[in-house]
Amino acid sequence: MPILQVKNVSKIYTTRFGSARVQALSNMNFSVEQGENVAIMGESGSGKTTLLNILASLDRPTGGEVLLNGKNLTAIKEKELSAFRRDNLGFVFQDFNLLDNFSLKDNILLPLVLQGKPVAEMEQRLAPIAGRLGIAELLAKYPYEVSGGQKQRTAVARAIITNPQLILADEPTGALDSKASSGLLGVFREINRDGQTILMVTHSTKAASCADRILFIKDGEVFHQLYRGNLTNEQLYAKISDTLTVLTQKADEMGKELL
Amino acid sequence: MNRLYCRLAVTNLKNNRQFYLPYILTGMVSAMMFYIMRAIQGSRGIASMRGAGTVSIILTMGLVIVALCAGIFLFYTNGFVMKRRRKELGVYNILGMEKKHIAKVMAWEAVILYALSVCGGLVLGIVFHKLAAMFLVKLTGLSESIPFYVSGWGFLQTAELFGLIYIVMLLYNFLQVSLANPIALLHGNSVGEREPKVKWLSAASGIACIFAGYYLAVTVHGVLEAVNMFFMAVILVIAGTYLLFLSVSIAFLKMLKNNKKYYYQTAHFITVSGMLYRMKRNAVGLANICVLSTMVLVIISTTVCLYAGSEDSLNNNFPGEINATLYFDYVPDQADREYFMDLIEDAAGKQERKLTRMSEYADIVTIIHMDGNVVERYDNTNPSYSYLEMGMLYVMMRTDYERFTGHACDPIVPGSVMVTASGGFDGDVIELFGTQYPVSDSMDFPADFPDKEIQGFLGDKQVVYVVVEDERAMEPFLAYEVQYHLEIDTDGTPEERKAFAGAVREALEAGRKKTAFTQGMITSREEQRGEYMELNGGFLFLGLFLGSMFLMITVLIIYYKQISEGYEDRERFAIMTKVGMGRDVVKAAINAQVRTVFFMPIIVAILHLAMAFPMLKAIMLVFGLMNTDLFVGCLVVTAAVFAVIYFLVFLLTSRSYYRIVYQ
Repeated sequence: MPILQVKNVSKIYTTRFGSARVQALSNMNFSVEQGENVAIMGESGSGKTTLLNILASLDRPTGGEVLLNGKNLTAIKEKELSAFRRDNLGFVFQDFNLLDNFSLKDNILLPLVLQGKPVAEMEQRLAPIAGRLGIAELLAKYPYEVSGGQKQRTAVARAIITNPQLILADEPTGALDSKASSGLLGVFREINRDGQTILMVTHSTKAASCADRILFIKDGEVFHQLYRGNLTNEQLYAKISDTLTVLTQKADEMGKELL
Repeated sequence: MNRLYCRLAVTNLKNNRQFYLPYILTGMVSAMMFYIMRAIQGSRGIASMRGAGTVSIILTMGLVIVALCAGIFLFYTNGFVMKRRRKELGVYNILGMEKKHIAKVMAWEAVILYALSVCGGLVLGIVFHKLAAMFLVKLTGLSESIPFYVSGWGFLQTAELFGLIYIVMLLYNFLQVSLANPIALLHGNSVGEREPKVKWLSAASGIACIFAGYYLAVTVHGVLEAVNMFFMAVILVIAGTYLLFLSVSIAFLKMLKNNKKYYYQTAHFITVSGMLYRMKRNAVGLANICVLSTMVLVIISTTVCLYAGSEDSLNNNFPGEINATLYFDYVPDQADREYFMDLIEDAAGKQERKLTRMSEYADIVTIIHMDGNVVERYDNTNPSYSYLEMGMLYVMMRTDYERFTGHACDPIVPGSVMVTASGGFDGDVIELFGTQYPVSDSMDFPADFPDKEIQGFLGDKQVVYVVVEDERAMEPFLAYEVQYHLEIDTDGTPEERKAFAGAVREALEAGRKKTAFTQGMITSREEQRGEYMELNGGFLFLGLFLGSMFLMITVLIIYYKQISEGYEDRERFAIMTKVGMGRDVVKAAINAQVRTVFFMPIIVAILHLAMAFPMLKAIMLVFGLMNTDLFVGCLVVTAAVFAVIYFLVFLLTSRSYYRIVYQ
């Protein structure tokens, strides 16, 4: 059974007085299997952020349903949402979203503290994760004292320390230089190899080329998808580039036709 | 071109009205207060009144304080607003405005702010001047009413003073802008957050300062010491308060943080680390609030108490309706005394007054230095004598002592003396000015001793009564001040009693021919009442006036603090919601922090007040107030009213805080 199922999800934003309606998502369908590493690509305005917000249960769809491990996200009560999010989802954001007033260690432990775990268990979980992400030496430092790549690895550590069902990454390489990006993608690959399911939204062809499957969305729908099969990263990169070119040309042609 | 700058300035002020409205309001109220003070102080109506001297001095004092506070506080507010506007100025700079253009805009802003504050302040001042003047007249019991008038000098000086303040602020702002580069301006209020370090030394000295101040206040003995030590204690406590908020709080939070079991719990985790940063950024603001609150509490409670206790202090300081003291070179004998009493009864007969009480006694008084059983004359020029060891010696005859205390004593063997001392006395012999006297009997002051307040005044210092059998035994002490006291109570209206005091004065003066006293002093409680009301009423007026000014400043500091914290917290709480913290948990965490930060200053202020109580009580004795219950009542009521106002301000300002955070 897939770990995440998105069925006929649509989202319509209405302005306050209902005069203008914007269709952000229309009839979105896809699913993610346990242990998969999926990237979602699309241009600005294609509905990526709306989709991610709905998957993160920060927003509710106007139609359709989202199932995480068979549980319908749209049916969870408002009150239980935070706890649900904390226990089942891990987040990695473009701008890290680390708290400046916590040390890296405390930033990573934050979700465990919210879950009310005993101190001994926290330390026990933290040590291997920090070691693997190469931030063990930095734990006592504060976010403003470390580099962007180190911040993002801290954010990854914070996302995986609760052993979530699914990690949602929103442009995780967006604020990183190419070296830090490669490092971070390596980290993703590694944790994915350990069985962690990852869903990443990105603009970057390079980031997407590390995934097992790439979904292209456009105008609120899944437009196309690519499977890695047994392609290398470089081959996949070329294929993604081609697809993006075709997509853009098609869009231009469609635009011309409309004119 | 100038019109563009002017328009830009107006737009800026409008867009930042959240900061500028309270700023303008502060300016207006300060200008209003200054004008009112100046107008009352300079009014011809007040100058022509009896007792205006005292009131005028008090008002001049108030004028200086209002001017100082207005300056300091406007500067503080200006600094706050400028800090929040740095980004905006940076944008102008990047958009291609040169610094001199920015300076022009700022100059226009200053002109507009100045005009609004001073015009508004003067209008309010003219409106409320009459009201304030009537209030002052009512409090001081000055008989005439003050005619309404517009004070030209008040106008001019208000405009001048505030002009000066705004010019200095503008120059300061110029300096700030010219020193900064555009990037620094752009990032104006988001310079990296460093975790505060624990400064153990300053934390320790903070605690030491507060305890030292408290110790001085609590262990104070007597008025002299209280007056002398008051300033010291205030400085210590103020310094300690700043260190308390700056270092002790952070040291304490760090200790909590290092306790892992405590720290890694949902409620404590967010609160402790949040508080660390809050304290780092707001410590000075909180300390300001605390010190100001303490000042408001002290000023208002003491002046209210003095005013309410006027009657009490009158009765204490003037035990009789009319009190006369006559100074002699010799001890007046029985015939002399009866002669004086006859004179007074004659005067009463002529004025048709009935004497309800007349008591009299004679004593010899001097200041002494007492060491064990040896009493020496106190010598100002002797460096080994500290004024703190100064004492008082009274020598009385047994019959006078009995009349004075209301207790009967055994006859005293000629050549020996009886000793009553405030600190107790034991020994068979007392040496008085080089002569030894056997002590027939000695005791502590009985509970109902009439001159109890003298002890209050002198604290630990010795007050010694030496009682001898007869006039002859008093002769060795004639070198010192021989006094004959008369206390008279009478019936009649206040006016009749004042008239009678005059008659007694004349009668005693006439008696000089026969008895040859060197000097006389006579006080009438009725006459003193007027002066007391003027002094205490003047103080109360000033207390309420300054108290409300400090209160306004406190409220504004709180408001600005809430707003700036709101902006700082907004981002942090948005992140916490994203990583899975429920809105209710976030809200609870915010509430806990806001409440702690908000109520800490007032709790510390009330603690300061409680600790200052013994010292304040002693100082109130200077004003003749000995009614402890009344003073406690005033303190409690003032603190309670203040706490209620503070809480209301909290409710109001936290609304703007939450609006910002949940935006």
